[in-house]
Amino acid sequence: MDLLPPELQCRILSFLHPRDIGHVAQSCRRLSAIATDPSLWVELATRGVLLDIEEQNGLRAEEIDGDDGDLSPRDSDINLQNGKSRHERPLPRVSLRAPREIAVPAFIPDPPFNATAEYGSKSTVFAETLVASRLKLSLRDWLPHGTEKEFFQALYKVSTSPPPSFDILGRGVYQSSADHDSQSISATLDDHPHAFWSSTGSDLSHPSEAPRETLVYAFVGQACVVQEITVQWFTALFQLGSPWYGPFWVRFSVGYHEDSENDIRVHERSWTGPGDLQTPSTMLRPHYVSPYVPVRTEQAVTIFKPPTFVSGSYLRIDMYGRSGQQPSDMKRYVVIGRVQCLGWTSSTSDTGTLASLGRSSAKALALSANRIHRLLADPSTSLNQPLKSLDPPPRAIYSEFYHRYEIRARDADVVQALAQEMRSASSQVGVRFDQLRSVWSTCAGRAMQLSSEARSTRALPLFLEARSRQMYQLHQASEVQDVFLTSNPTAREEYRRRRAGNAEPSSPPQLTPEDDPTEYYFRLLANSGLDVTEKEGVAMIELISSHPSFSTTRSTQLAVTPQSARFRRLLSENRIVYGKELGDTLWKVGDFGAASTVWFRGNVVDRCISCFLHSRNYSPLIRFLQVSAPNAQALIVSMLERIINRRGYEEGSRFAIAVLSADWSLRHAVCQAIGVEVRELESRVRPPMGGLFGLGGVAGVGVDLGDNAAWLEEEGKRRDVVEGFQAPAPVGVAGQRTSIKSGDVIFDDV
Amino acid sequence: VDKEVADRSVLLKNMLEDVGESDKPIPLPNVTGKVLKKVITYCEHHRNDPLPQPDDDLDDTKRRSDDIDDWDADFIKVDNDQLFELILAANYMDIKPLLDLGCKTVANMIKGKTPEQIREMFNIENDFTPEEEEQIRKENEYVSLPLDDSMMLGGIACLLYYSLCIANQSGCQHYHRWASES
Repeated sequence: MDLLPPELQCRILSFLHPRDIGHVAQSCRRLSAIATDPSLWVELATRGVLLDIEEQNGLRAEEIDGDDGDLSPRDSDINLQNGKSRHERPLPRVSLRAPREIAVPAFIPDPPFNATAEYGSKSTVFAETLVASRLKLSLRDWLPHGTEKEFFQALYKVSTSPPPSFDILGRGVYQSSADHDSQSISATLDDHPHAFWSSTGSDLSHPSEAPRETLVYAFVGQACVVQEITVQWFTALFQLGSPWYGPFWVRFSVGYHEDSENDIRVHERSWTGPGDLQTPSTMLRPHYVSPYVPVRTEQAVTIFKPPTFVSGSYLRIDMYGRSGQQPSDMKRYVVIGRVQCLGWTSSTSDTGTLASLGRSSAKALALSANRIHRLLADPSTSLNQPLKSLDPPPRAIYSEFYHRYEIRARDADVVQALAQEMRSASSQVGVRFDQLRSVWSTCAGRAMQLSSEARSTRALPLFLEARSRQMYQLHQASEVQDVFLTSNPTAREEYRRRRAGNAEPSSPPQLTPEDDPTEYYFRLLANSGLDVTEKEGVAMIELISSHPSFSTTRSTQLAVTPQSARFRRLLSENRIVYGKELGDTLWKVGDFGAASTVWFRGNVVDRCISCFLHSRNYSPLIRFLQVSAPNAQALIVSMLERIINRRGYEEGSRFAIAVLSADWSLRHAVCQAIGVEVRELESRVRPPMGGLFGLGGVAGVGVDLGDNAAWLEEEGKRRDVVEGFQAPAPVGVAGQRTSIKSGDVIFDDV
Repeated sequence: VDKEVADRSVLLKNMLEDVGESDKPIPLPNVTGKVLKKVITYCEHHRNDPLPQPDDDLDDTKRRSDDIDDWDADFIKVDNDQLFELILAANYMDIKPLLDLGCKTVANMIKGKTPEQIREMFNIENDFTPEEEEQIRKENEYVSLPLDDSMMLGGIACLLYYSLCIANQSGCQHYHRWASES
């Protein structure tokens, strides 16, 4: 072997698995030098990939499709010479391009167990690898110079036991435009529901002509692996019509900055502007450019998962087209509420950064659970590989005897991982795992001491899952009885007779508050003094409404249970982040008062208007419209027409009075809507302070126009009679004189 | 030797083109007669195969060490010295399939061996000091971990990770086509 020149030795090594190269490197100095040659590793990366995978598939296959003569006889000879009885299996050809041959295995556990967190287990990596391996890959020249092997080895370690993925976005480094200082790119890294980045507005004849908008973020490490990019498009709930400001398409690129090859961190260099981005070959070289991802209208979130492993030091988001039109200036914008990029940093020198980001790594648990869940549940991503090779085998869940034991073991895994994270995050140690109940209660205690961000992203799903698990066990316990009964004929008959005689089916077993993990969670949350996030609020309401006593005592108020009392207290203490979703949930369960409170405090314009209309508070409605809607007049008139059509003239006239008292300039439109001559109206009702200004200015003072209402109703009735319609019964008589409470506005009598 | 056979070697092919059709022998100073005979046997057997294209290197599927056919496997059953001479000759005469065959054979020999076995097989002297050896062993630590299946796949993950996705680009084109059609 020493006879050969280095390039030939290199060529030989390029046929080998990295493991074997390691062995060669350990044999002598010269080979060691060759084994660490960068060109070899680049070569491996370009070519060794599929070889290795096929080999892997072959070794893992259960059946051997007969010897296809591929093995060199010499190979077997050597094996025999070394005294190894190991039979080298011939490698069946496994096509990587037909990955969907194997459907989802039948032993995928039923909910709620398929969300079991396989935190940090190899199976996660395994599954992802398989998904990634489906695609045929090629390499571009993008490795940082001189560090291929170190890089590779670090990555190998990382991929065998990936660190928990976290939000790797370090900071925003470039924005193509920003509407306002407070709406800059850094706002997209903020979890607050009202923090957003907004482009400058553009008024274009066609929305797709809008200029491209670009955002660039630097990752926390010099080389980060990107797993999932999440972009939340912003819906301006505080604007009329809740306009959605998304683009038509979005495109993601990930790559290394040129400087990162010279060990300068991306966020330490200056960014000169769009020129940077448009000349990727010089300043920014995207090594991965995603296809154009279309964004559906009203789509809340775009989640993009790179089809392969993508790494880089920056993320660039390009947005094309814009559909959202701001009602006040009729310009089109594109607005992003939140950008998250989950992944991990791969460079070994970044471990410090990683440690300092323990806070963010809190998301990892929930994420890995979701990931495995998705992989298992989605047939389109069913794995190329039989799942039975996953470790630990999920099959064990179904074995009768080990059932409970298995669940408990998994719980312990989750909690252990959780405890480890907490240790790194806030030095919280000492979680004991003697039994399931104490496990989650201890957990609850620890979780509450984490930052609010960690709480909202990780803890809640965990506790909800723990709850469903408890419920499941409870159900199981009750079903055990059934099974016993059904195995005994006499008992079965007796059981049936009893069941038949019992008119009311027995209610499903309920968790006591002491056994309910979420109860712990919310109790601690309420006592902690922290704000409740919208998601937590929604979960709270859903749990309250799922309680059986809720359905029986259902009214416009939430049933009075300790849970709902707690929710009300939080609401009154203003400790809930208000939003549309929370209000909608409340509305759904029938608590309209609380729902409207939430909408108003969250400034959800559309819902507020619905509330006003629903409760028939017309004066505040019109005031509200004038403040929040730029085209208030047209809106008010169309609303008036709708009210007349749907609710009749009584309501219509009430609305018309509110309109006239708020905005005298609308009298023409109002008259047309109710069918009265303007001159007639003007001759009867006269604004003293000069037209629209006078009446509009005092709109807020609560004008009592009862008599006028009666008059208008009379008018309406008259018209109805003429046209042969059935009009609502008029209330009151035609007004002699209209009294005004505030005294600012005088309506003359006829 | 037939021209067709000689054309297997890029070196000879180029030389023949330069010299033109003649009966003059071409000197091959770096190849011994015994090895040359072996090479000619190989070329005669493969005379009808398609000539390898220069960009064949890019084809991933060529890069597996176990696709050696029966004849080749039999052909390459020689001792180590002769094997390396064959590789050298193939390299010198630029016969890519033969070079690959040789390299694959060596690779197959190395596969699954410990460093000691490799030394033994190729008569390599261990010139590391114990400290150096420890250092090297540590550097290559990941290879001496128990190799269960998922870990090996993890290694592939890392290989994959270095790669960009052609499929993705074509997906992009499809999208464009779709967009322009609709």
